[in-house]
Amino acid sequence: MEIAEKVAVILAVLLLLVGAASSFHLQQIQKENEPLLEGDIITVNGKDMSMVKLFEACTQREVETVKGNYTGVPLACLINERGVAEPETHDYTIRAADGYEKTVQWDDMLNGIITEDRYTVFPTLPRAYWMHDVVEIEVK
Amino acid sequence: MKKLIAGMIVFGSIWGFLECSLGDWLHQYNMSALMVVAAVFLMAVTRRMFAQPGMQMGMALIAAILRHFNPIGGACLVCASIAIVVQGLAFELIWAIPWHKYQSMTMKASMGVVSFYTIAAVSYLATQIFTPLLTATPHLSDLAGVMPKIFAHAFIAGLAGAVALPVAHTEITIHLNDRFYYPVAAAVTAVCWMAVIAGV
Repeated sequence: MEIAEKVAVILAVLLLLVGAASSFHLQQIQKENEPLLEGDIITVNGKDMSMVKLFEACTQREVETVKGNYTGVPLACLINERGVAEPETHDYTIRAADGYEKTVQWDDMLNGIITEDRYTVFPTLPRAYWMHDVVEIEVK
Repeated sequence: MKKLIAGMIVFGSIWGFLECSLGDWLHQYNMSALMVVAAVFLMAVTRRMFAQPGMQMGMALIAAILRHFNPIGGACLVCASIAIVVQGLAFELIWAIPWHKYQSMTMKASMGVVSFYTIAAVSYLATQIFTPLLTATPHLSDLAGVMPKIFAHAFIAGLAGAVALPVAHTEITIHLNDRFYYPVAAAVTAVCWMAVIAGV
């Protein structure tokens, strides 16, 4: 085997090891978040909140998007229910059960909703910001 | 040259059509890595057939245009278009490295892993950087949480690449008479564009 071939093999093995370790890490994160999903709980600003209670407290809204209409509670209502002071001065990191996260601003929270099956929909943002299985909203 | 441009348009259109149909479907099941595998495989096959550097970048631009104007919407259009362009660019850079002179199966399988993995990872990363830059407020901290997902996504593409690249490099020659080449290319291109516009 020539040196170039050896380099290619080593590089391939290293990349696959990183990929395998990342897949394992994602599985662990998902396992850690399973109690939140099963218990119908969402963590907002470090405090666990019941999804059922949130849906009782907030008025549901239908939003129109290029992918159709979605119904859920405004994300801003979750923040207000949590009692965050001066919400417009903060950024909000939304985290999914698999660790995927996106940070949005207050205007986006006003437009965005979370559905009963924990899907965030932002009519004014690209689909990269729409997340399944949301488990946490961190106030920054 | 005319043949090359026709090839670039037809294969770029096929790629764009696959992105709008198969790509959207795979995205729903969190299997977008398989669309990357299909895209890199198509680029590798056409590079072997036409042996023209730059052609795959052109294919990527055509596919990205088709993807961006997909009237059905589907997955994030901006992200998908960015990913396609970056895939074309990354392919051209990797294929500029002179690894092709080694014809052994070891080299092909290893470079299959390296190229498919790298292209999948870089294109995913690019969407995470450029989509917020173009459409919202970028937050670098978001990248840390996304990196494991990027590598896990690339892992699937890398594994598939170990098989896909040797297959793409298999010597199969199809001769199509000039009399048929251009009408077939035009017809396939038209079908792809009409299918996307009609929302198939």
